[in-house]
Amino acid sequence: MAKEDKKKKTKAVTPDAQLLAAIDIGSNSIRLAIGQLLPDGQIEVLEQAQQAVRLGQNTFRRGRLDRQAMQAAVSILRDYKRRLDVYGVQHIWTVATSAIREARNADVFLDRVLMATGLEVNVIDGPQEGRLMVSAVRSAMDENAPALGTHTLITEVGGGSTVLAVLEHGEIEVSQSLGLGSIRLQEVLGTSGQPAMQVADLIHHEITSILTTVESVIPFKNIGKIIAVGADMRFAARQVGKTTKNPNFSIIRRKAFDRLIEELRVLSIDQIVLDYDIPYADAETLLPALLIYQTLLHSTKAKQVIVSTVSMRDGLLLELSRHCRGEQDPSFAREVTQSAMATAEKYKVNLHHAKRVAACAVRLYDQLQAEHGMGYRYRVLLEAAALLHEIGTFVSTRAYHKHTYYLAANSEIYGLTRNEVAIMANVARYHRRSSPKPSHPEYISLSQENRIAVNKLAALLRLAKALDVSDIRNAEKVTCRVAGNVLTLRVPGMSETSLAKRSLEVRSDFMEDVYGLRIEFKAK
Amino acid sequence: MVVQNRLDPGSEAGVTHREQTRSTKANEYTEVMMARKAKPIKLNKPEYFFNRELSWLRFNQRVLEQAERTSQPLLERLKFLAIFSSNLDEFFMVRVAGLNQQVDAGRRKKDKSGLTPRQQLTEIGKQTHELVDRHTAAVRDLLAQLRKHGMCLLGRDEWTLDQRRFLQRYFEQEVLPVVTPLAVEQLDPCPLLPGLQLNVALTLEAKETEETETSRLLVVPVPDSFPRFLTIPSKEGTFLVTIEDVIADNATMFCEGRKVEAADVFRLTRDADVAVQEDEASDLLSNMEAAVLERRRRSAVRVELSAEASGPLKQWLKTVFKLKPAEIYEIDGLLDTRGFWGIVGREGFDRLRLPDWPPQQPVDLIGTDSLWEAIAERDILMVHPYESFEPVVSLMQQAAVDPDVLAIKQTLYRTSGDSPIIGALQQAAENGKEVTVLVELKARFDEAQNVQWAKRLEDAGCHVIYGIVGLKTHAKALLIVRREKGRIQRYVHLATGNYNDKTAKLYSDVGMFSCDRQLATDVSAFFNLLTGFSEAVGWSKLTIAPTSMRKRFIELIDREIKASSPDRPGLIMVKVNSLEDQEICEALYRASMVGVKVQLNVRGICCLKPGIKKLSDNIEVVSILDRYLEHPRIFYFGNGGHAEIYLSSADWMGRNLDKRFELLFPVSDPRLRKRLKGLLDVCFADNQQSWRLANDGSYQSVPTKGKKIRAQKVLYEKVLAAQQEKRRRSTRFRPVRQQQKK
Repeated sequence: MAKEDKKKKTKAVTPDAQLLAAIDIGSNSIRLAIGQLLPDGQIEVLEQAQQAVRLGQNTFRRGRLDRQAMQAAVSILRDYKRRLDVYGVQHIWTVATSAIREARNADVFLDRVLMATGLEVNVIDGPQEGRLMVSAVRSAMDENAPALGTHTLITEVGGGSTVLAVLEHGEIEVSQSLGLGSIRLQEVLGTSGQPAMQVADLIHHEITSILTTVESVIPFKNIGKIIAVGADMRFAARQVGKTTKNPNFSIIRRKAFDRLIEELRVLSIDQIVLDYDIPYADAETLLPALLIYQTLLHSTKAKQVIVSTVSMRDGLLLELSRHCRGEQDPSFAREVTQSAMATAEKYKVNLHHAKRVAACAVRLYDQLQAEHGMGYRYRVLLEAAALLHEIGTFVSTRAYHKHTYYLAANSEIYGLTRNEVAIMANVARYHRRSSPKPSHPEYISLSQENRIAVNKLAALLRLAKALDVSDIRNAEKVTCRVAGNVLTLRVPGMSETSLAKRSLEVRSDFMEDVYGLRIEFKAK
Repeated sequence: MVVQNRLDPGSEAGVTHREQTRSTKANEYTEVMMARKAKPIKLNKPEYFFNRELSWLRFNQRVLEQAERTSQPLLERLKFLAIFSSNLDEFFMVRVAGLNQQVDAGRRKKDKSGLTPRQQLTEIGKQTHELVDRHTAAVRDLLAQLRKHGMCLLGRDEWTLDQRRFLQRYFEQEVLPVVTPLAVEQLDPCPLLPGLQLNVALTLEAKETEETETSRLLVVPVPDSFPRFLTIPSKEGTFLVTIEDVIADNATMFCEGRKVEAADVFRLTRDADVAVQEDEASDLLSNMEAAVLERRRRSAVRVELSAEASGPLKQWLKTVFKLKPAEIYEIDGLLDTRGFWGIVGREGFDRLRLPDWPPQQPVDLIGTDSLWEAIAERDILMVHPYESFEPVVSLMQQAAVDPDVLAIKQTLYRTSGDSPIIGALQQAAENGKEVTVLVELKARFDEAQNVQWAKRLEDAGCHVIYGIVGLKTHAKALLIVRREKGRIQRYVHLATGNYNDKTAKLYSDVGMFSCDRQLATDVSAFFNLLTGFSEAVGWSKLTIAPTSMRKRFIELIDREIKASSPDRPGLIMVKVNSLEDQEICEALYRASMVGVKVQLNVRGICCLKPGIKKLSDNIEVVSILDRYLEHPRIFYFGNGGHAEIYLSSADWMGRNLDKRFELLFPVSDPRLRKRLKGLLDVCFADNQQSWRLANDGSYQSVPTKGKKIRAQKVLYEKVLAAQQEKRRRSTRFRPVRQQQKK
C-alpha cells in the first residue's frame, strides 16, 4: 500500500495540464470560473460559480463602495480562494470592473481583498473588457457558428457599463465603452425597486440619449449583425432563442425579442422570479439590461440578435492560457494598430508619414531587442505611439507634442490597459523637444519600471522621426549593428554629406543617453 | 368509480374557488403559464383524475394480493404481509394525519379528483377497513399453512406446561426488569404512549370501591428491544410465541394480587407529519431532534386493538384519544405484522422461499482492473440489485485513501447507520480531502438516525450541510475530483436510488458512472448551489427540481406531440414510482389525444386515468410488484427517431417537482440507452407480476398469453447471461512472471 502511494505521488508531480482560474468582480455579482488547460490547448471548464453582491449600487449612487457590500465581497472571495486551493490552481486572474474602478475608496477594498485572500485584483477598464469579450466570442466561433459579415456589433451590457465593438470582416474596427449599465441606470434615475412598467419608458429615454453620443463613432445604421454577450441575453435566449449548430450561439429574432420584453414589462420583480426561476438579483437588473440591448438592436438594421454563451471569464481564461503557453494573441497587435490608426485619422494626421515613422520605429525596436530587452506588448505600444505622435497638431502646431499627450492619453485604444495608454501617450509626447523630466507630472506619475520603458521607447521614436526626413527615402530599411558601445546605423539613401546626417547626429543625443551607446550613421 | 358520484353539484364552483386560493409558488406559476398558453380543451376536470390517497390504497391492495397468491412460496407471501403493514402505518402517520389536520383547520379545498378532505377520509376509512379485514384473514391463513411446514406460532391457549414455565422464567429474567406498567388514570390528560408500539392492556377485576371504569386499566408498553417472535426450544419443528403474549400471560405479577379479567393488545398510530421550524437553519439539527421527540405527543389517527378487547379499554381509548368509530380497527388476530420480517429469513426454511438471486458484478465492469480507468473510458450503467451496488461503495473507499483524490461531494438521503459509505466519507475527511456531504435530515422516519451520522461526519471534518430551508434534497449524486496524469478528472455517479447499501439489495434502481465533462461541471454546479457556494449558473445536461424539471418534462412531452404524426406516432415510455402531478397528467392527455403512444409503468400512486375515450385511449398504465421494490425513474421519448432517455431521482409528483431538490439527467451513451430501452420493454412485456390500471381505478392482473415473462427474473437472467458471455470472451491466460523488484 505504502509503495503504491509513493508511486502515485510521483506520478502527480508531473502535471501536464495547467489549472487556471478567472474571478470577475462585477457591479452586480462576483463570478468564478475554474478551468484546466489541456495539453492540446483546449480549456476544460471545471467549475463556474456566481454570487450576487451589489457593489455597483453605492458606487454609482455615491461614488464609494459601502462597507457591507465590501464585507460580503471579501467573504465570497475567501470562499472562492478556498476552492482554488482545493484544486491547487496555479494561475489566477482576478479582475474588477466599473463598480471598483469608479469607487473613490477602491484601494481600501483592493487591500482588504489582498489581506483576506491573497488575491491581487486587477482593475480593468472598458477597452480591456471589450477585448476580453471579443476574444472569448472569437474563440467560440467555428464553422458551425453564425457567419460574421460586414459591420458586426459585439456588445455586452453589464451592471455599470456597456461595451461595444464593431467588427469589420472579423477585425475590430472601433470599440467603445459607455457608462450605461443595468444597475447604473437604476441608480442614476433613482428607479431601483420601482415597478418595471413605470420606469421602462424613463430608462428607454436615458438609453437613447446616451447612445446618440457615440453615433459619430459607431455607425449603428450600417450594422447588419449583433452578437450579444451577457447573462441577461443568455436568459432571453433560453426563453425565445433558437439553438444553432454551435452550442455557444443561439439566435433571437427581433420580433420574438420585442415580445419577450413586452411580457417582462408587465411583471413585477417577484413575478419574474417566480415565473422564470431566476435569482432575485438577476431579476432586478433583467429588464433594464434587456432594454439597452433592445435599443441597440433597434438602432441597427439587424433582424436578429446572435447570443453567445461565452462570458468575460472565458476571455480571461483564454488570456491566461496564452500566458501559460507563452503565446500572444495573434490579433492583439493588429487591433491596437487598427484602433490607433482610426484615432490618428480622426485627428487628421498625415497617415503616410505616421505609418512610415511607425514602421521605422518598429524596425529599430526589433533590431535593438538585445539592447532594450523589452517584451512584445511594448513593441505594440511603440507602434501606436508612432502612429499617434502628431495628433496634437489637430489642436495647434505650437507645442503640439503636449496636445498629443492629452489626446492620446484620453483615447480609447482597443485592447490597451489604462496604464498602457498612459505609457503610450508619454512616448508619443517625448518624440520631440524636452526629454522626460521629474518635473513633468504625467511622466513622474508612472511607476519607475514604466518610466524606464517610456525613455527607451521615446528614444527609438525620436530616432525614427528624425530618420523620416525628405532626403532620406528608404529610412524604414535602416539597419543597426552594435559593436562594443557603438551603434552603427546604416541608412539607405542618405548621403554622407547631407544635411540630414547632420540633423540626425544632433537628434540622437537622447538615444545615446538612454542606451549608453555612441551612434554612428553610415550611408549604405 | 363510486367516488365520482359523491361530487356535489357545486363542484364547478369549488374548482373556481380552488383556483382563486392557490398560493404556492408552483400554482402561481401554473396560472401564469395557463394564461399565456390558452388551452383549447379543459383537462383539469375532476372526472379525469383519481384521488391520490385512494390510488395509494389500491397499491397497498396489490401488495396484499401478492401475499394472497397461492402460487408463491409461503415466506415470500409473509414478507408482503409485513410490507402491507408498514406501508399502512406510514400512510396513516403522514397522509391520513395530514387530511385530519386539514379537516381540523376547516379546510374544504377539493383535490383534483373533486373530493374534500373529509370525503377522502371517509372513503379511506371504508376501504382500509376492508383491506385490514382481508389482511387479517390472510395472516390467519398463512400462519395455518406455515404450521403444516413445521413453523408454528402458538397461541397462549396452546402452550404446554413446560413451555409456560420456560416463558415465565424468560419473562422474569429478561422482560420484567425493563417493562413499566402504567395505571392509565395517572397518564391523564396526555398519555405519552408512543405511536406504533404494541401495548398490553390489562383490565383488572372490578372493585366495589372504585369510582371509574378506567381505574381498572393498566397499560404495559411492549419494549422494542425484544424480538417480536420468541422461539421456544424444541426437538422438532419451530415453535414461536409473541412477546405480547408472554407479557400478557405473566401480567398478574403487576397486579398486586388482583385478578386480571382481560389482557388485550392495542397499538396507536400518531400524526408524524412534523413540521420543523426552519427559520434558523443553523439550529436545524437540534430542531430536528426536538421534532422527533414531539412526535410522541401528536394526536392519534388510528388505534388497532384485539377484537375481543374489554369494554373499559375500548371506552378509554375512544375518549382519551378522541377517536371516531372509523379510526378504531378491531383485529381478530395478530396486530402489527411488521414483525414478520423477523421470521421470513429463518434458517432451515429455504423451501418456503424463492431461490436467492445474489447480486452480480456489473456487466460493464467485468474484466476491468481499475474502476477509475473503466469509468474514464466510458459511461457505466448499473441495474441494481441484479447488479451489485458494491462498485459505488468500493469507489468511495478507494477515493478515501487515494492521495490523488482532492474532493468528494455527495448527497445522502437515507442511508444505513453502519453504512460503509459514511465510513468512507469519514476516512476521506480524516485524510485531508475536501469532503462535502449534503445530509437530508428531513428524510421521513429516518430523522433520528440521520442526526446521528450527520454529527459523526462533522466530527471527522466533513463539511456537512443540513439541507436547504423549505426543500428536501432527494437528488442522488456523487462527485469525486481526482488529479490524474497531471490533469483534473471528475467522476460522477448519478442514480435513481439512495446511497444505502442495504436498500440497494431490496430496491430495483439504476445508477450511472460517468466522466462526461459537461455532466461533471453540472454536478459540480449542483453541489455549489446546494452548499450556497454559488447561485445557479445554467446547466448543460442536468435539469433541476424545483426550478425547472416540470417545465422540462412538459417541454419533452410537447416535443413528442409535435413530432408525432398518424404514420409515425410518437412514443413515451416512463417508469416511475408514482404519477400524481396534475400538469404532467394533462400534458400526457394532450399527447394521447394527438396519437402519441404513452406507456406508463407506475408502481404506486397513479392519478392519471387511462383509457378514457378521446382523452387517454393511447395511454397504458401498468404496475409491477415483485420481490424487489420497483424504484427506478426512467423516461424514454421517441423524439421522431432520435430517441432520448433520461434518469431521475424524481417521481412525477407535485412534492418531487416543487418541494425537493431533484436531478434529471440524460443518458448519452447509445449502448446504455439501448440497455435501458430493453429494460423498459421487459417491464411492459411482464405477464406474471403486472397489473393493468382500468379507467374505473381498479387494477387487473395482466393475463399470461403465450410465454411467461416475469420482468425481474428476466432482468436477472440477462445479467447472468451477459456475464457468462463476457467471461467467456475475456478469458485470458496470463503467464506467471517473476515479480519485478522495485
